[in-house]
Amino acid sequence: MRTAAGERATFPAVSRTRARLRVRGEGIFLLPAAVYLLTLALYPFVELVRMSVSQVTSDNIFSDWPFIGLNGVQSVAATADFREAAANSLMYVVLVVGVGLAGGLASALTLWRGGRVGGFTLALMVFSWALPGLINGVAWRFLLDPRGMVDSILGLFHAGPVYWLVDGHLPLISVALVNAWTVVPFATLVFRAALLDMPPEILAAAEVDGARPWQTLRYVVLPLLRPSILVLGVLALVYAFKSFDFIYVMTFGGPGTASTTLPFLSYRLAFEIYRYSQGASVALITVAIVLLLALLYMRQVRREERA
Amino acid sequence: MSAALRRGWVTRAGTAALLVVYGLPFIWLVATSLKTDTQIFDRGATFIFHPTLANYQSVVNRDLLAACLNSAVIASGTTVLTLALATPAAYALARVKGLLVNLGLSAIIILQITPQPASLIPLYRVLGGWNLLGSQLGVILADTALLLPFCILIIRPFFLAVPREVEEAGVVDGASRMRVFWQIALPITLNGSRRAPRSSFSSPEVSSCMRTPSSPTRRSTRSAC
Repeated sequence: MRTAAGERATFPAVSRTRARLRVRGEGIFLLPAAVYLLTLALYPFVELVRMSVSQVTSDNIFSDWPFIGLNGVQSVAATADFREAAANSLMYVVLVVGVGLAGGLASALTLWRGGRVGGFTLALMVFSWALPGLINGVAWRFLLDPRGMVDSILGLFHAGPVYWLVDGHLPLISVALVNAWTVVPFATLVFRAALLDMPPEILAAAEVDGARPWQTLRYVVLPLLRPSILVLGVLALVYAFKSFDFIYVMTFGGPGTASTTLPFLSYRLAFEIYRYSQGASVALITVAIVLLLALLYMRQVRREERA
Repeated sequence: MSAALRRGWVTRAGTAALLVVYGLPFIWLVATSLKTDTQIFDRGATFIFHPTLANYQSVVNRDLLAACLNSAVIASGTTVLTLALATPAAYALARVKGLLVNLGLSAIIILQITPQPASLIPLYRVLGGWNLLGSQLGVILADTALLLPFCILIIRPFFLAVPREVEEAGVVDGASRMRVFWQIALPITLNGSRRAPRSSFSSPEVSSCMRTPSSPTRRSTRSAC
């Protein structure tokens, strides 16, 4: 306040300009996007909430919905399908985050010092990461076919064929690993950036002190990468949990419900058997979980910014 | 450790493994697209075969043309609509400060991370109510709603980099708010996007990946978006 008053006393012209700018306001430029998002993001979300507390089927989706309260949410959360999808989601997230981060760290260490081959490898990885999930999913569905790439290579060693997308719990694991395959390039970029940011003197000091490579990794590099690991971990967690397209194109949640995760269960309930209310309830539960994870992320980022 | 990595066989083996894991699927797909059906199922023709373009000839037809047209319409429609809405919004969020902006940014980040079915299910009803199901316009509207938050977050840093003083000079010369946006702020950001691709990445981690190890290291500052 005091500086503002001082400014006004000393430079009247400048302060008048500032005042005019403030009065005119740039907030008005927010209006079109705000209106759009209110109509096509917030309003649908309100409809989603309303759907979850009403009885909505394919008969009445475009007319009035009878109110049933929280019974719908409760009953859908108690079903065996929901429990299985929750367990599948957990398994999926653990695999994507674990393999994605571990793979990313390993490949970042490998590609740390660049070189022509390293640069080409990184470019190839980024290319795979930048492709749409649907394309990667379709390609891998084909590669994991009993006559596809993976089983053909196994065949060279007289092993297999393994029915990657058909057998028992394998489909869920296969899809998660393919999803992790696209997470690794991104994790590599982030970890490699952190490695390049590391002062070389620290590594030189470790070497002078006679640390072996794995000791340097364990006691010098990993502690310095901690912030990146944490932030990337939560980001991957959110991404893996809401993952939808890979399951959609590779297994469609099957066989049966073997690879149906929570987001996919909500899709199936709504668009396969037209129980829109149940689908909306499951979708809301997934949104709540994602929000929780996102809050974790923001807290982490804020802590890093302060540090 | 770095010296060990530079010379060691670990690095070479690791790079080779990565090349196989990320290169082979791509090569495999290209090779398969050049094979006949019998060659695909013939173990002996896995790597050595007579390439044919027959598969490409059979898919280049009226359907492909229609699909390309659909893609073109939906992609260009979504791009134009998203940019038209996101650019002014990013400008506003870069200029105005306060609770409203923080709320807006949080809402945008939350929209960015909701699982797709959570917007698909109600959009079906909303777009259906407007008779837009099964139309290209419906897809464009839905796609824009999905992309808009992301675009705003990407464009905002450009406007943050435009000095306020330049705009104030415009106001002093009697330009309207609209004109300041159109003829001062917007051209400067367009210029920036050509000249400084570094800042086009909203996350500093990604932008610092684009440096080579030999360039001077600078500590990256981490931002919320």
